[in-house]
Amino acid sequence: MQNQRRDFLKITAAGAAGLALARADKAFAAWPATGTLAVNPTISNMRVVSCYDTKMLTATPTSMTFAAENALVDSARVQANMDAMAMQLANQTTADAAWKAIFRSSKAWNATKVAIKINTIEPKNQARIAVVQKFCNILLGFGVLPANIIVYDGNSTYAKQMYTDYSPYFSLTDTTKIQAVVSNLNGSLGGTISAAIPGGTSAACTAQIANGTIDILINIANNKGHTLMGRATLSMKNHFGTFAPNHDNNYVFNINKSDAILGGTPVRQQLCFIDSLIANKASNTGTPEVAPCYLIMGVFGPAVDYLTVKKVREAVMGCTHDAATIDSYLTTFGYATTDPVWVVVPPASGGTSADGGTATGGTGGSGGAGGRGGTSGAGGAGGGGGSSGSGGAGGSGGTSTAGGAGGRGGTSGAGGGRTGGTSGSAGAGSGGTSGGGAGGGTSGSAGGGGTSGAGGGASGGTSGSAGAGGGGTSGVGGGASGGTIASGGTTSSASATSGSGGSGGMGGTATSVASASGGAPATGGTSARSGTTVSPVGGSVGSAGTTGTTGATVPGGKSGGGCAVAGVDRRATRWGAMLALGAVVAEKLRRLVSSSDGSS
Amino acid sequence: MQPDTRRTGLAFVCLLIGLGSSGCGSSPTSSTLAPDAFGQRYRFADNEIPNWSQNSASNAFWTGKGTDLHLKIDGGEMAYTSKGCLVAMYQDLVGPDPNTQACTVVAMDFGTNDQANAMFTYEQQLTQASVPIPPYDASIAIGASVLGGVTAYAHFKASYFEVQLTGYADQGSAASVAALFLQKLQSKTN
Repeated sequence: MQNQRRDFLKITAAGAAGLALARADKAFAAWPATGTLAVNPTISNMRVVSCYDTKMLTATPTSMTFAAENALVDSARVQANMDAMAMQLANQTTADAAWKAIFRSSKAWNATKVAIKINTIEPKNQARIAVVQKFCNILLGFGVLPANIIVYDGNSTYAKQMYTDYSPYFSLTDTTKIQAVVSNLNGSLGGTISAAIPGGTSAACTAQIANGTIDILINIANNKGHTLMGRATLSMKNHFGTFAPNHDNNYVFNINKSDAILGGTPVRQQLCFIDSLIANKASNTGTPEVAPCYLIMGVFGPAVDYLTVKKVREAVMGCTHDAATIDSYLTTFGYATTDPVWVVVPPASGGTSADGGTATGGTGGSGGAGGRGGTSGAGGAGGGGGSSGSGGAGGSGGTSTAGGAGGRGGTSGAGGGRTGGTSGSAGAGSGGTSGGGAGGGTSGSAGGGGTSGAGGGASGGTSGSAGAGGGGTSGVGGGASGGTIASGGTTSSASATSGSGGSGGMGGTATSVASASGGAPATGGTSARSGTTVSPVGGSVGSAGTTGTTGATVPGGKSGGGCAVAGVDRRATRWGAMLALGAVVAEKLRRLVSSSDGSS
Repeated sequence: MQPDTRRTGLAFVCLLIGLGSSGCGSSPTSSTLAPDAFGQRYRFADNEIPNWSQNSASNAFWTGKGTDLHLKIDGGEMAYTSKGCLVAMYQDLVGPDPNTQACTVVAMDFGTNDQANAMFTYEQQLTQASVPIPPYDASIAIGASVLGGVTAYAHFKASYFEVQLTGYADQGSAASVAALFLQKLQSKTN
């Protein structure tokens, strides 16, 4: 009796502790015991978008080193395809709108923290740099700070190689590299803590994901075979490295229902992406056998994994699987195998000849990716957008020459951007009749806005001048960010007839920056940072800002103006502070209400 | 007393099985080495295969028991351990063109010839390996087509091997180099 009571007390204490923990983490709801959870209120969990494009690889790989593989990836093409996929997934007409529908945060972008989970168990088949770079650039374009984008694989078993492979491509100081952090295991994410898993167990988990510090979790898996999980390992199992590995299928399902992965408001894991440019048919280790040249993505891992198995691994690669286990990918989460929807996105049309080609999108289509400049050649002209399509990604400039002209926006499309050469000037992109202007290159000038479109933003180069974003006839001027030692760009120098000025330029390291000039008061836009390559869509349209001083000069500094929060330039300290305070209070109230309503 | 005696007998049998000793299987067995000794037996010295040397990466050489294999290929180990892998070695090498040509050599002791053969057969079927590795008969060594080369599978006595070669546009050339590696591995097998 005594023992029974002692056991009961233990259970009660444990239960109370569990309740307390659950209450503390109320904001991080897990997959419900019955029914389903919409990961994104505007995108079906069952919608899975794919793109098959053999031109994403310029040749079939023979050397399987990380550098050699990545050298064969046509980054512009991969990234243009990712934009097209996002538009299909989110049912949006511009890439910018699509990515903003996919990636959401309850915080200001410059306070948002993002983790990108990659898979590094097989060095010959890891997330390609072009894919990781694209996600980083999207988030940087939103205003997420480089130090708040963490690429990780926390499995100490094999992730040691990751540092060697990925680190050379990333830097927080070298603006020619990807502006994000490569975590040494879980080191940049607080190590590990024990996290609850549905079913009453717990396991070691990446700390800042388990405790909710991370706002957005992007899951980039590779296409590989396995002895378990029905003989495939994709996005769900990719969370070995977020959670401690445990090779039990139910464990895989349960961690993918956990608060760590699907908790948060908005839900933390917002995109599952399969980099299937290269794939392993038989095993999760060993040399990849094939190059399927597929990209696949959706907001819900089980649906992404299920259709990757059926549509790519089986239909394209000829693999066989344990059908019952594969079906359980969906049924375990309450879905039927007939529920997922496979959406095929045509590849970016137009050529990508290495000597710089010109591509034109068709009606309603996407412009082609621009040609890549040679070592000393000129970048190709970007693709022209179709009647309602997006402009193509512009050509990348050669090592010492001018970047190609940016993509022109279509009648109602967005102009494409492009990157200037290492020391060359980037070309400009122009917006379409009602489309957005193109983004400027590393050291080039920004595109002009269309007739009623938004001007593009320009990012200053290492030693160049940031360009100006011209406002359209009734559009919004683009923003400019200064380079490392460059002069800041003058924003919206071509003032909009009836529009507002662009977002403020961010100062370079050593000089001053002119704030928005001309036109109506500056808009808050995406937070431009020094030397950041802008996303290939036009500058964002923020609400009217508070720093519309014409030609006002702001002392340069790395944290100069233009980093807008909710449409308000953060230099406007009084309004910015009030808004920020308001956002914090609102969040506190929201959590308070959430914690008292009994839902989880 | 009787139960204790029986238990002791069972423990002895289990020990024999664990050590891969003869008497439990129908085929000859190896005398299982400790991981370090096993690794040193099969490790390739620089230029042992002309112009091939160990990769300079710190993790280019690994040995361990089968029960530790998850530390090397987490998730992939079950294909091997379920078939009796006792000890394993992994070595990464770079070839004549060190920027493009690479090889991972895998050597494993399965305790018995039958188990090594079963592992070979499993991989052959799983990967649909069909690339000849002359002069070997396909029942001893066979290659699977992979990007940039071949992965050769082989078994000699109680040992099982994989030679994962990449950096070759021509699969025949890769198979020839794989044969060189396998011949050395065969000569090192007791």
